[in-house]
Amino acid sequence: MIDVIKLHKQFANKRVFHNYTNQFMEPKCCILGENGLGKTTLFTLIAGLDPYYTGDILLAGKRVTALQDYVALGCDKIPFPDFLTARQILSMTSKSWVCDMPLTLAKAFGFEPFLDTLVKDLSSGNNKKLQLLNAIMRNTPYLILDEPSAALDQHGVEVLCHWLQSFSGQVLISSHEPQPFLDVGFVTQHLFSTEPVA
Amino acid sequence: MNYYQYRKKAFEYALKELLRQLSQFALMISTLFYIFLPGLVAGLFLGLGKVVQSDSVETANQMMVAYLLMQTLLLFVLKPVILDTPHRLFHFSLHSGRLKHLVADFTLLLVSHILLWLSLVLAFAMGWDKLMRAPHFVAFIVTQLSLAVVLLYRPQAVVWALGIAVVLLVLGLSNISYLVVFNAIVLVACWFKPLKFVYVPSQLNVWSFWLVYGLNNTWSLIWRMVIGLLFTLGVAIIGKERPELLHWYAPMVALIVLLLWASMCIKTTKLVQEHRLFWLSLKQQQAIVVTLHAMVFILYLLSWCLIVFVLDFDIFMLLTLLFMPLLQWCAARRPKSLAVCWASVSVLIYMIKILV
Repeated sequence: MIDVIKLHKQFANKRVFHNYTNQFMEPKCCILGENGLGKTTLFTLIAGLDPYYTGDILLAGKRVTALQDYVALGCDKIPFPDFLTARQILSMTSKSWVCDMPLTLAKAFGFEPFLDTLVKDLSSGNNKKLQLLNAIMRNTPYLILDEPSAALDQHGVEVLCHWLQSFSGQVLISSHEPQPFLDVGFVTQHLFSTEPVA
Repeated sequence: MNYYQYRKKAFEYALKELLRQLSQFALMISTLFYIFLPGLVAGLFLGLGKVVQSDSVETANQMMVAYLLMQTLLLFVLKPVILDTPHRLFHFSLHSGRLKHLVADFTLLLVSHILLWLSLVLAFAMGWDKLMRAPHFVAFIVTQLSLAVVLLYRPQAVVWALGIAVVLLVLGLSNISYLVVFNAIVLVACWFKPLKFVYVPSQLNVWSFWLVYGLNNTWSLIWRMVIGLLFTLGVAIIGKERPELLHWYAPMVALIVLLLWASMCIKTTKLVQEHRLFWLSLKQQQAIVVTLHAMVFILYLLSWCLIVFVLDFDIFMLLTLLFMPLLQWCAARRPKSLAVCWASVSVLIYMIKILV
């Protein structure tokens, strides 16, 4: 369960959250909201990648000092250095977080032939697969995937949904095409609503 | 609009874009050196004078290599502008033959080749009789042109030829022989395979990341190294003629190279900032910044050692090394103040030198 309490987040000229409180209770939650509402911003805050905010973010009702240790994020807002290969990116994550390379999942995604491709040469779909692998491989109890099906091929979406079905932790996603995720047990919740959408 | 009109328009547009991109750098250089600009132009003519007539064959050969190196650096920057590289396929879609493309390329190359203009101005000023008494200078002008043309279509030949030319300096060939051999190498090297350094380690850490970055951004390293080398060689040649002035020039070379390497922190810091979330997601944000500055410092240290080796050690050159962290900090945190900071450090070092 993720609790966001009295969150205030502002960029130089734009206030994104003011006194924002919400609770994400569902183990598989798809957050809905129009473009520009702040979903990605909220995700980076929950993942501990942006310390510039006021308010509280609780995991399972507890305040944690290093959110990053518990939450992994896959998101377009984390651009990878484009002169590295996908394998190099994954190896850095593997080393930093002492986790295994996600070779089995890469194979299932059909991404294996692209592991030695430079990030700049990856298609948008393969770039998305790299983002997903990079987040999933950390095996954290909380997983956040921002627009995980965007640019992904049909097979990729199926593999992802299949993997998410077996994931035992809590997962938050945002998606404008949520149906494949709803089919595997995801519950939708609006960004500014505390109740799941019926 | 015909093809040539299009090429002219594309050249003007691309040149304007390039100048806009380089505006900050150009402003920094012109702010720092504007009082020395006439001296710089005079220095270029002085160098050409050394090519025409010099006390030793070696000095003239060194000067020729330095000029060819410099023109390669300048034309490498201008090459995409001359060739209109981003729209090259569009050119091919307009004509089946290559003649028109070659004519346009060659014309724009002549327009862009400033160092060739200088040589031609000097040749005209010398007059026909004097020019015939210095046939190696004519050969040098031809080499300037041939090397520029080869740079457009076979850049790997230029890299090979310049590399071999530096080695050939030790043979002490006459100026004409040296240029003939150089052109022969350029011609043969046109069929050499391009040099390519491939380093793709499967495991990366923050140190090897910068190594991979360097190999993928060799241009950033090469132009700094070449400019540093040209200044060092230039001052070494001056030092041969006026050794009593060397101690005034040597710290200036160290300071110029200091600015070149410190400015590298501008681009690399921007890269780190662009991927801030990536580094944060790896918990390596601090480590990547520390290694960035350590790498840049090491690069300056290596250049500094070369300067000391060629121009002899001076205590004031050591001061430049001590100021490097300050310049790096300024480039990373206050890039707009880098020029002022560098100028202040330069004035301070020379003040101390005068007073002590």
